[in-house]
Amino acid sequence: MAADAAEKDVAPAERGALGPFARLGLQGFLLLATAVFLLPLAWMILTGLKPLEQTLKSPPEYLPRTETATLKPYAPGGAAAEDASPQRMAVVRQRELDAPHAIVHEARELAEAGERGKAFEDRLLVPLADLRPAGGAWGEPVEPGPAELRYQVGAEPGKRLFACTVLETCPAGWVLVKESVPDAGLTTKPAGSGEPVPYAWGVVPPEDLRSEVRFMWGNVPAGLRKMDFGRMLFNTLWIALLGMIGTTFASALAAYGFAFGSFRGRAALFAFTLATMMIPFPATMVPLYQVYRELGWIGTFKPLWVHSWFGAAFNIFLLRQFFLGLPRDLLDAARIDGCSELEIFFHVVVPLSKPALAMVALFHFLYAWKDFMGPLLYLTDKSQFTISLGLQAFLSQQGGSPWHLVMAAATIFSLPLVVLFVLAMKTFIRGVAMTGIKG
Amino acid sequence: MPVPRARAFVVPWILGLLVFTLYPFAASFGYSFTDYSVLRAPEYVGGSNYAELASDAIFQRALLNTLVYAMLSIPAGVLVALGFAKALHAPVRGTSFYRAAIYVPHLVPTVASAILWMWLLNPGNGLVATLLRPVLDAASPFLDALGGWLGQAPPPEARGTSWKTPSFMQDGRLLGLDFKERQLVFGAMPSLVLLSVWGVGQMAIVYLAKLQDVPRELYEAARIDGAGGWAVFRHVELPQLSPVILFNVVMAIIGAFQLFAEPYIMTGGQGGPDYATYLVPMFIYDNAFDYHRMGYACAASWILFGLIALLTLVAFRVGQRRVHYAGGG
Repeated sequence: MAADAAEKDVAPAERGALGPFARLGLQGFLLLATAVFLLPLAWMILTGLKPLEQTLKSPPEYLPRTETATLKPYAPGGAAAEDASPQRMAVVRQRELDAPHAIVHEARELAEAGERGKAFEDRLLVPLADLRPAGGAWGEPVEPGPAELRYQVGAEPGKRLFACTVLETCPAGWVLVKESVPDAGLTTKPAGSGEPVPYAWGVVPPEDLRSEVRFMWGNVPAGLRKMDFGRMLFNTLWIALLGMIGTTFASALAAYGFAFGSFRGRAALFAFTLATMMIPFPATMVPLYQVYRELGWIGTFKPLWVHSWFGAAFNIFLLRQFFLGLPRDLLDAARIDGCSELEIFFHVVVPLSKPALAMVALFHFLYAWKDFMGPLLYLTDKSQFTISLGLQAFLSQQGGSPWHLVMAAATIFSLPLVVLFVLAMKTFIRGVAMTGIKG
Repeated sequence: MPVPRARAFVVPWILGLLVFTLYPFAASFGYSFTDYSVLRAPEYVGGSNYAELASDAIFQRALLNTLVYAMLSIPAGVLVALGFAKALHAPVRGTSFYRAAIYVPHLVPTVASAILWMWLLNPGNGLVATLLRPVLDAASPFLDALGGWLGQAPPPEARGTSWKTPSFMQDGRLLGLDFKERQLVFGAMPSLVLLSVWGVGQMAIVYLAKLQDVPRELYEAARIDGAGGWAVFRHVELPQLSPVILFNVVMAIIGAFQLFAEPYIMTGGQGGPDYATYLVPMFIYDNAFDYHRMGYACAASWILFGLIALLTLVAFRVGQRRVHYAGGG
C-alpha cells in the first residue's frame, strides 16, 4: 500500500548504491531545490518583520535592519514622556538640522487684545533664532526653562508670539528622527508640527544613530489589528469546522452505502458520482448562486458549508476504497449479532477508519481555510469576511503599500496550516500519497 | 455480504448531488440559451449567446490564455514533480526533511501565496529580480547576441544600452526577459505558471509514494538485464508511474481550466496587463456578476465544460495506449 511505503525512509538496496559523487551531487541538487522552494517563504517572514521604510528600498536588503537612536518613549500628552527614561529604539531619519534648534513645549499664545489663545499640545522643534529668553532680545542665548517664541501657525502669514518652555537645545548637524512604528505611512503626522503624534520623536547627535539588525515584531499585532484578523479568524474557523464535520460525516455515510449497500445501479451511480468531479465550478456557479439567492443565503455563511453536509464526491471515493479494505468478518459478525446498519457504521466502521476520516477532515479544513472564490461570491459584508477575503481586501484598500504588514498577516495566515502539517506530518504524507490529487 | 438496507445511506448524497451540482449544471445549460439577468426573467434567445461568444475577442483571448496556461503549467508541474520524486527516491540522507520542505509551499493559502509572489516578482525591488540581476549582468553579452540573432539588432550607436524588445516578448507575455532594460520582467502568464510550479510538492509526494511501491522483482530483473539508471527509470519506473501521472494530468487539466483566485488576486480582478491573464473563469465571473449577463456567462461555462470533457477524453485515449496498468496499478 502506498500508505506504508510513504513512511519508508531507508531506501531498499535494489535501487542500487550510489557512488560518492552521485550522492554528493544529489544532495547538492536537493539542497538547492529545497532552498529555492523555501526562499519565498523566508522572504515572506522577513518582509513581515521589516520596518516600512526598508520594504521600499531598492535593491532590497535581506535581513530586517533599521536605524536606532536613543529616545524617550512616546507617552500621550508629550510632557509625560519627558519623565520616562530614554531607550534605544528603531527610528526613521527625518532630516539633519541646518541651524541650531530647540525643542520646546507648553507653547501658549500670548493673548494680546482680542487674540485667540492658541496652545500646542505636543512638543515643537523650532530654530533657536526664533526664541528669546522671557523678556530678552531675539538671538540672545536661551537656557532650558521659560522662553518666548515667534512662530508661524500653519500657512497663516506672519509670526505670532508664544510663551513656552525650552526642554533642550540641539546644535546644527544633529538629526531629527521619529520612532519607526508599524503602521507609519497609514497614520502620518509630521513630527514637530505641534499636533500630538502617536510615536516618539527627538533630535539626536549623528553618532547616536546606528544601523542594526532588528526584527520588528510589532508589525504582527499591527497588521492583524488593521485587517480585523480576530473576527476573520472566527469566521474562517466557523465555516471550516462546520464544513469539515459535515463532509466527513456525510461522505462516510455515502461511502458506506456505496461499499456495503446493495441496490440496482450501484456501480453506475458510483461511476456517475466520480464523473461529477469533472464538472467545473464555473459551470454551476451562476444557477447555484440563484439557488442560494432564492433561499436568502447570500450574505450568510450557509452557501459555504451547508453543501458539505451532503458529502463530496472525492471524499466518498476515498472512504469507499478504505471501507472496502476493512475486514468483512467484523461487519458480518455485527450483523449476526443484530446490529442495525447505523450501529455498524458508528460502532464498527467509524472506529476502524479513524485515519481515513482524519485525512478527509484535514483536507477539507485545508480547502476551506484556503478558499477564496466561495467567500468572494457569497459574502457581502466586511464583518463576515474570511481571512482569505480580508487579506485580499486589505491589500487592495491600502493600494499595496504596507507590504510589511501584508506579509506579517500572510505569515500568520499560513502558520496554522504549517503547524498542523508539522504536527500531523504522517497523516498528511500518507493522505497525499493515497489521494494522489486534491488541491 | 452487501445488504439492501445500507442503500439508504447514499440518499443524502444523491439529494445533495441533485441540488448543488446536477440542477445548477442543467440549469446553466438552459440559461445559456437565454438572455438573463438577476432582475429580469430569462428570455429565450436561441443560440445567439454562443454565436456572440464565437466572435467575442475578449472571450477568445480568455480561451487562448487558459489553453496557454494549461499547456505551460501542466507539463512544467509534472516534470518538476517527477524530478523531485526521482531525487527523493534515491538512497540519500535527509529525504524526509526535503520531502516536507517541498510540500510546505502547497500549504500556503492561495491568497497569501498570490500576494507573496506579487511581492517576489516586483520588478523594482523584488527578490527574484534582485537575485537574478548579477546573472543577467554576467550574461549580457550573450543576451545582446541573442537579441541580434532574433533580428532585433539595435542601431550600432545604441548597442549595449538599449535593445528593442522582440515583439513576441513584449509585456513579458511569454518569456520574462526584457532585453531593453536587461532585467527580468516577469510577465503575467509566466508568473502564474511559476506560482503553480511552486505548489508542486503535492504531486511530487504522490509520485514518490508510487515509486516506493514499484515491486522489487522489477528492479532485480532490470539489474540482471544490465539496465542503467536511465533505462530503469524509462522502462521500469515510468511505466509503473504512468497511471498516476495520467490521473494527475486529468485532475490538473480540470484544475487549470478552473483557475480563478490567483489571477484575480494578482491583477486586482482585472486579468491584466491588457488581458494577459484573463482566463475563462474570470470571464464567466465578470459577465455573471459584474455585467449581469448570466445567460452569456452560462454559455461560456458550457464551452469551458466541453473543453474539459474533450481534453479529459483525449488524455484517457492517449493514456490507453501509453499507460501501463499491470499488477492492478
